Amino acid sequence: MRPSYLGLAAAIVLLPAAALAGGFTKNNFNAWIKMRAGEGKPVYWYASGHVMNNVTGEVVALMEGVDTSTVFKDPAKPDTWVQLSRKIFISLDPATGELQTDAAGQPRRPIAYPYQVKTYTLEGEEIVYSVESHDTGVVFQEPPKKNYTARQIGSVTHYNYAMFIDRVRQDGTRSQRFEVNDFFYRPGAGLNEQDRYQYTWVGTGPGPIVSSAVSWRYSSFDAMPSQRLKDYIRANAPLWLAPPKDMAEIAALRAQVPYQIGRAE
Amino acid sequence: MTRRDGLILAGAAGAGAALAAMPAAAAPAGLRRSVTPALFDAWIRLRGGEDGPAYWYSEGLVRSMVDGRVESRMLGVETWITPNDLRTATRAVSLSRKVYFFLEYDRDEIVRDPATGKPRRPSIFAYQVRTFALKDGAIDYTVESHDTRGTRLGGAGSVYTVNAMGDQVHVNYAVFPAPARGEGGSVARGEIYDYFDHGPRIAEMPQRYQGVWSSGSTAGQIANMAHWRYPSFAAVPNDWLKAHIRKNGPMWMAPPKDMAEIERLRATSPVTTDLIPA
Repeated sequence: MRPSYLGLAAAIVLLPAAALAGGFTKNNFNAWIKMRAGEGKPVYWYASGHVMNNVTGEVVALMEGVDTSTVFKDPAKPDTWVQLSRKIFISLDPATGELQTDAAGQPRRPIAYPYQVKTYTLEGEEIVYSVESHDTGVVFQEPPKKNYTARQIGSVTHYNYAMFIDRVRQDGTRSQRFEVNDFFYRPGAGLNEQDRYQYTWVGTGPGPIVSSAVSWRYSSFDAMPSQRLKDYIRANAPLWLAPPKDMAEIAALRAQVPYQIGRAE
Repeated sequence: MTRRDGLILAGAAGAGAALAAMPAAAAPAGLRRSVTPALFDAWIRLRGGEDGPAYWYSEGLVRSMVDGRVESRMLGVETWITPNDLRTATRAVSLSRKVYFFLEYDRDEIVRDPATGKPRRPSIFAYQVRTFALKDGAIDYTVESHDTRGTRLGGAGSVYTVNAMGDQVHVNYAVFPAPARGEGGSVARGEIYDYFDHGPRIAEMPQRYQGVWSSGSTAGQIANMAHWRYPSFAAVPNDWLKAHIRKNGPMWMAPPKDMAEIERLRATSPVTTDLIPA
């Protein structure tokens, strides 16, 4: 055993159980905002992963996409930040790596959110989190939640939150699904964004499906690694080249239901 | 949470895979097969245990899949070695054991089954033997496990993705335990694993190596833990866990030493330990 590890172990303070309820301080709350949504300039989380049958494990699709955000401090509420984001994910055929097609041979519709407005308020050791989403078909709000935790391991901070979505879709069907999100933040000089920030996501549904993806952060659309994704967005969904600019853009999109992907944007 | 649900979750803890007949589905023919020998080596080194035992401490939450309510904490440790004599450039055999406990949310007390009043059985394995083999750009994986009640063999699979990002290595894989418990219910659910090695610039082991595990169940729970690697049992950052294992199950303070120990355990059913409530 290396002496440095012994020293480290001694330095680590066991988090009390209550810390699992939140574990937030001003510092790691601000670090969370900065990691997730930047400091005013757009950030891009490029994701790639698998979509699998939750019973057999069969890979039914590969997925890749981007979640792009900007953020501003809410002038009306203390310790509150508002993240404006949008995201889009495309499905790829696991056998060919090409865009997946439906039964009619047409490219499958991407999962796309023209906008999400996420609000984070530091309340004691908790984040109070609320989100309004536009999934192209409907605009819906999740009630405020205290579902975030932060853990400190040396200089690394681990953030976790889970979302449990139980709602009736436009077609009358009830959708119950979960998502678990884990982020790692590593400070330090000389690290680029991908060294500093990592993100894993696991989600279920629709149906007997489980999906997982890993994301790294980039500071521009062009910097993302997937030419295929970038070409797709440029050609088919240019709205997703950048995050929403401001609340005026959100208001305009809120009035566009359904939102037609691919129209002149 | 019902007793059955608890059993499902107990099975789901990490090597719930061990309970199953099929730890991972075979990769579709066209799925990207991009694991190089260097990436295979990086994965084996990430998991550790080559220069001395690796200790993966885990903690997280069990939540209701419907409303997000936290039902319990979950925490434990997996100890792991990859003996040099079982390691080649394209094949490695790892020996491990692990135990995970379900604790009350607000205190270090094992959750009790509301029906019996007894502390819940942990997810516990006397040993696991994993074989990783690099074949045609993919990692084939098999596992044999002893959950203290008996030994089970897993199948083969290769749904591993290994990404290099600068000097980082990220590994993702999924396992889909089949309903093999004979308890009448399906335990069909995926377990998703993500591991990171943040590279040699980071000297401190738990800051260099992390992992995340998520598993849902058809009974309506989702368990999710984060893992950090430590170089010794003493370094594991949870005093309750260490004291409980020292007192009630000291075998779980170290991994199996070698295949001879595996052979002895193979012949022992059940493996008794005070970590499992009577």
